[in-house]
Amino acid sequence: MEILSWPFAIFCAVVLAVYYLLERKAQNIWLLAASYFFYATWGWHFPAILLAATLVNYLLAQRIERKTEKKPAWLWAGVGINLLALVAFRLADRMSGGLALPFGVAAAPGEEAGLTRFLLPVGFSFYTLQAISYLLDVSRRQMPASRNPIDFALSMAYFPKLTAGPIERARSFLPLLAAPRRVDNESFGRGITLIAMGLVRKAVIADSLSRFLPPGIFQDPGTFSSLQLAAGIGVYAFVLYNDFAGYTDMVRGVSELFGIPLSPNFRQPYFSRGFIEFWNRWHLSLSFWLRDYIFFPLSRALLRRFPNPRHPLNLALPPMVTMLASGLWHGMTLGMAAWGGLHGIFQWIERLLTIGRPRKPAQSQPVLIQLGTWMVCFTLITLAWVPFATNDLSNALEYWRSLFAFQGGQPEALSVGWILPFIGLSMALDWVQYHSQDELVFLRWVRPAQALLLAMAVVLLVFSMGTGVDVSGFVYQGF
Amino acid sequence: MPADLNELKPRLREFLLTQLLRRPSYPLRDDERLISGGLIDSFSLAQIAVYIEEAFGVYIPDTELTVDNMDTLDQMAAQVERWHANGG
Repeated sequence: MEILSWPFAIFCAVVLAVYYLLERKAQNIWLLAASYFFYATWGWHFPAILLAATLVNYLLAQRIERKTEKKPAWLWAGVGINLLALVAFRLADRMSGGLALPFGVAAAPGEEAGLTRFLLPVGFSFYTLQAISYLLDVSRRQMPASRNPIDFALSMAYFPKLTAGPIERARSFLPLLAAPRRVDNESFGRGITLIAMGLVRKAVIADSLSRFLPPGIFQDPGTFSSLQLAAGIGVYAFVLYNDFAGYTDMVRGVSELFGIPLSPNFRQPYFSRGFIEFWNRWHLSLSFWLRDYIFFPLSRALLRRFPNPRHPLNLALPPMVTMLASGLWHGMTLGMAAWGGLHGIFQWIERLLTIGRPRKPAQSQPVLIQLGTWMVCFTLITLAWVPFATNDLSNALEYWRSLFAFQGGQPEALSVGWILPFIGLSMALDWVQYHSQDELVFLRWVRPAQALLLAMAVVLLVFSMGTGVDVSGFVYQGF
Repeated sequence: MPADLNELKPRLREFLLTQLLRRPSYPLRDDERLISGGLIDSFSLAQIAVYIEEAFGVYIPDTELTVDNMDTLDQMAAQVERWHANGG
């Protein structure tokens, strides 16, 4: 059941209607049942895998919590089981040719474009990270092991975040499930606004822009001109962002209607003036997970061993290991490793350039310097999307080679006049949120302005649907 | 030997100004936003955490090194006191 579909809208309406009639404990049981039903619509065997993961982690956490000599062994067994399962599913999925590729790209030669065969259970990578952080937090005594199987199972299965996050930590999410919930006008307003923003980002911006990506541009880049390739990767950067940010807004909006707030995932990432800043703005729930469970432990261990922060290992190893892990989490391919590795190198160089020099916030730099650093960052981040989009290193190398060959040609399939308004809309939305430091700034506007904005959103949605935009699945559901 | 917690804020301020900001004369306010203000990043947070371990004998867990907990000098000092009290 796709998130952006009528069946999902009807499903949500039914679940909500019953939910409001129930008392809190029964609400959680109802949400759990609804979540497993939702998951079964993605694959008949997925609920069994989720149930097994839930039981294993629920029992392991109770073992880990006990102060025994075997505690470290139980912890490593738990982390190992989760990681091994993730790697095994990823490899099996890859070998079966069932890798999810976005935007009408055939999953395997000869297959219908857009077809995906999910051997890897959708959402598995997301709830596996949640389970690992739960075991680690219990082990470090930062939270008790859950004694409520319903709440714990719901924390793993909760349907708005099940297929592509946000990755919620049990430490903050379990208390939300245990607390009384009230849906008032304010949370209802937040929910509807988030859903509307998500629909505009996904259906109007991402899916409209994806129409301008020529078929085969990431599979056979050598047959395209440099101009087409430059425009293609630029468009992809905005498609990917609005697709994932749109998904996140929508599921957060749905969750607000249940009185359960989910974490934000984006803070206007393309306005970053540094690579470290970019990772504090892009896919936050994953970025912070990697920071807390890989980057910080590794950095601190190295700093204790080599106290000079300029030691090459202190500078290079934490960002490289963290970003490589991020790449491989997205897919066990050389393309994804290259994407992660490039971001590791970017952060390493940024740290090398700034360490030992007086620090000034980016926003206090002269405007021209801010503009320059923004352009450099945006260009390199966009170029790094190439191996992410091709999901294959040889195609990525061919893409970059053809891009920088500066071969002539017109961007025939990429009509700049049609692309720019959608990119402009994406940037305008971000600009308003960036300047107000409030993603829901629209709720503070006067009523006529809110009504006008909502009317414009509806017109844009109807126009997009009417022009035959293919409202496809979300990219991150493939991870 | 861990330093006295009474010296906490001055020592933290000195570390921030000399080792991280590299601007010893910068008039750092106790409530000045360091992370959200773009003055320090996650590399610096790791350095601060290790400095606190060594200077004050207090371990702040990795998951607590967040913008909500460590954005200002005041917040950093409060975290050190909190985890010292917790036996961190």
